[in-house]
Amino acid sequence: MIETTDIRVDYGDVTAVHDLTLSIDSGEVFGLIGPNGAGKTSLIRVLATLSEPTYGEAVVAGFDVADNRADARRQIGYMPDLAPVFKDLRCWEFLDLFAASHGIPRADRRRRIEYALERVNLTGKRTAMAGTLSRGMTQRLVLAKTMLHDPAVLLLDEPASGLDPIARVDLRNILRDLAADGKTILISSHILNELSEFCTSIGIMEKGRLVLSGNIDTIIANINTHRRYTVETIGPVAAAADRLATHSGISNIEPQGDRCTFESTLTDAETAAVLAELIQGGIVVRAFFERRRGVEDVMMQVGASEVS
Amino acid sequence: MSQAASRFEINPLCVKGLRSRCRLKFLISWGVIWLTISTFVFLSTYLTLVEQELSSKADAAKAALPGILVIQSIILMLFGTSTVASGVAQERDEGLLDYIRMTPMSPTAKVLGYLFGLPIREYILFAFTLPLVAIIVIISGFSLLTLAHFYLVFFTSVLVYHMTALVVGTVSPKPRLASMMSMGLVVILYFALPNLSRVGITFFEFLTIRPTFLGLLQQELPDGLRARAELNGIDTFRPVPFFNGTVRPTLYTIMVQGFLIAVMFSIVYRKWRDQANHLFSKTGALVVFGGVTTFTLASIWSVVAQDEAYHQLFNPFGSMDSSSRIPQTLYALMMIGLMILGGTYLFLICATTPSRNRTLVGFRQMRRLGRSNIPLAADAASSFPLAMIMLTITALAGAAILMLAHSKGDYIASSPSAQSILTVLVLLFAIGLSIQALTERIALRAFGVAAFLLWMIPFFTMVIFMAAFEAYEVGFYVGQPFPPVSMGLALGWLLESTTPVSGGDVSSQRFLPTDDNLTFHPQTVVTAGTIGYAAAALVLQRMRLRHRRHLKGMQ
Repeated sequence: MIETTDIRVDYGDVTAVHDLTLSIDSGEVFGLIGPNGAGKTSLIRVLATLSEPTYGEAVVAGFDVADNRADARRQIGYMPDLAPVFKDLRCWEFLDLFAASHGIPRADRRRRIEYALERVNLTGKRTAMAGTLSRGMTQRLVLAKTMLHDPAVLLLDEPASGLDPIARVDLRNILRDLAADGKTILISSHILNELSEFCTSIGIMEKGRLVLSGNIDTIIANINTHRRYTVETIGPVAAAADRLATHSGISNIEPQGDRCTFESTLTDAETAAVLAELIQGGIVVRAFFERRRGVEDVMMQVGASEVS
Repeated sequence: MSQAASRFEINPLCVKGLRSRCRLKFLISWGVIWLTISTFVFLSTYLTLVEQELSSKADAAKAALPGILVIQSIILMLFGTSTVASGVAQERDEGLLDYIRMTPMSPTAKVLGYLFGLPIREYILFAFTLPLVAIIVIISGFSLLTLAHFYLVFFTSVLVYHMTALVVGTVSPKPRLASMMSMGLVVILYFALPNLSRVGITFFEFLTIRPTFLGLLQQELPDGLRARAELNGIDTFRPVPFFNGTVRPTLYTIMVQGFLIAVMFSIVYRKWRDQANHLFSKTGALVVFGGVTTFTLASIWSVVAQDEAYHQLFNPFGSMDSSSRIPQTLYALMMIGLMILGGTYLFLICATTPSRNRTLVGFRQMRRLGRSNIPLAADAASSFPLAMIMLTITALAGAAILMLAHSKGDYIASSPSAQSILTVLVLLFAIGLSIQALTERIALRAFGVAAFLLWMIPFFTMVIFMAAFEAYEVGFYVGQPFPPVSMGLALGWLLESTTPVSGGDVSSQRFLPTDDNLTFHPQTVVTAGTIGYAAAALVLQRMRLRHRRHLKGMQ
């Protein structure tokens, strides 16, 4: 659904995107991750037909974004970072503008607007002026605009930035619904762990390059060959650390205050036996749990290796 | 409802303008303000003239019309222009323009949507004043045909103003700056430049509604107002001299304004396609230069070739012998033409010369495609070929005027000397290519500073030398870096190298300053200036080429 081949974007001496090749299948939710300045927005703007790459090819929904802009635009819904709205239009007028601009017939427009507003939970704000909405509502209104013409591909640039936790949960639920509808979504975000909850694949950008991409479960499984546990005790944790050190399958023990973390290659049964041993040894265990590594850890790991 | 009617859609951007700017509360408040002012203007003029028995009811109503037209102009041309410029700049600044860019509407629909959608409130306020115009027509029996004719030109002028604002809003970095820039540009384009019509460059006058307003409507105005217009020498609504013939004034207005609208449309189109695009493609710049050259040449040509055009310009009151001409007017006309083409050249070179970054991107693209050079018409290509073509066109236009003047026999009796022709040509190309190389070598802002320092300081010094010390020759030497001085002197020397026409006043056939006490050797000064500029052009072009080679080698 989205294919890029050797895309390069330059701003003079600065190369924002460096020979990037990417493939996102239909129905995927692709999380584009990277620190500020990694080139995420530059890539999304090329895919959205808003800027031309120095060179390279980008095809969205079967249309080359350079040669066939008009057709590509019909298939794309784009939501920029800090999405602005026409403040002096009412919410339904704002949506009507874009419905009409996309050539949706007048008879069908009202129904689509109502549906879009309902989908983003803004039906009650139908006649409110867009300029009076809160940040979270504004984001949702722009999201409604983005999906109004039923595009096959959604390009969402940092849609959760600046939102409070409740608004983020709302947004996540909406995106999850859209993904369930079979939309192909490319979403960039630095709220990494939220992405992992509904992305099917991720790509990590660093200094304009795509340093890692693929199915999210495969990537996380690859970095979780060593399981990481935490044990919390009432009182000093040193005794627990000493006992853990006697097991050959346990490594990287890091005691700190009343908490100790360690990596393990033991099976679940063996781990349960270790816990029993600690308790029988007189150590008062308050908590014992596994911490699975997520998208954030992947990015930190990749970022660290890039820097080194 | 028929199928066709149901398919009919008003441009969504116009609907947006209607919804956001024409809510009832806005319309009522603004409508009351403008209707009150218009009614006051109408009643104060009409009632005063009628009640004081200064004129008939019909004439009093006619006398109120100019005031209403001024109000309509303020609404549409002043407020409308400002609204378009700041509106577009604000939407661009906030990122809203990207939304519109991404809709599948055609670029033409987008431009038209902004052109009519942003100032839609002003159009409605304009409509509020129309009942007063209707009352005037009913009372005075004013010719509807004349009025329709006037409003046709009025609306093309409004379109030109709003298109100017759209261009400014598209390229200006900040909304407030856009509003100020558009007002400034409107003042320059439509109030300052039209004064050039007084020195023979007719087409600037037709960027405004002045010729139609003063020429067409005055036929219908009461005697007092008509006499005042005639006293001011306003008689511009007549066939416009164009090369050897004439063009009807309305057609000429539409030609000039249509040309400007087309130019501005192309700018907006390119900028909306990609904000990083230059204002003009290389080809587009050439078309613009060709258009400006044609209009300028047609104006100057007509004054040199047609007796009527000459006397309308230089002898409006018929005090001169109808067959005689002042040869010095040829110099004035050629200098004005040169300044217009020089200004256009400078603008187009600045608008089409690629920045360092753009050139770098261009070379990377070519490397990727396996080509060794950037195509000549690309934005990233050097503006050198374009500069050469524009300079050649300027030289040919000058040569055409000289040949016409020679064949006419009223200005010069022989061709200029080969040496002077060669010197002027070398100087013209040297100045042009120096400018081109400098713009390509350094950033545009730095070029502005450099041009000010290299041109204006010598010019100011020259003025001080001449005014305070009467040191003319030293002054001219010092002032050579300023192109109008060096070109002006060279052109004067070129015309002085011709044989004077027989008969007439000999002093009118001198093209350079003369004074018994003045020891002045123009040839030496011009030669020195030409050598200086030629050397500068060679050095700067060499620097430019080395710079391009350096960029080409960068990864």
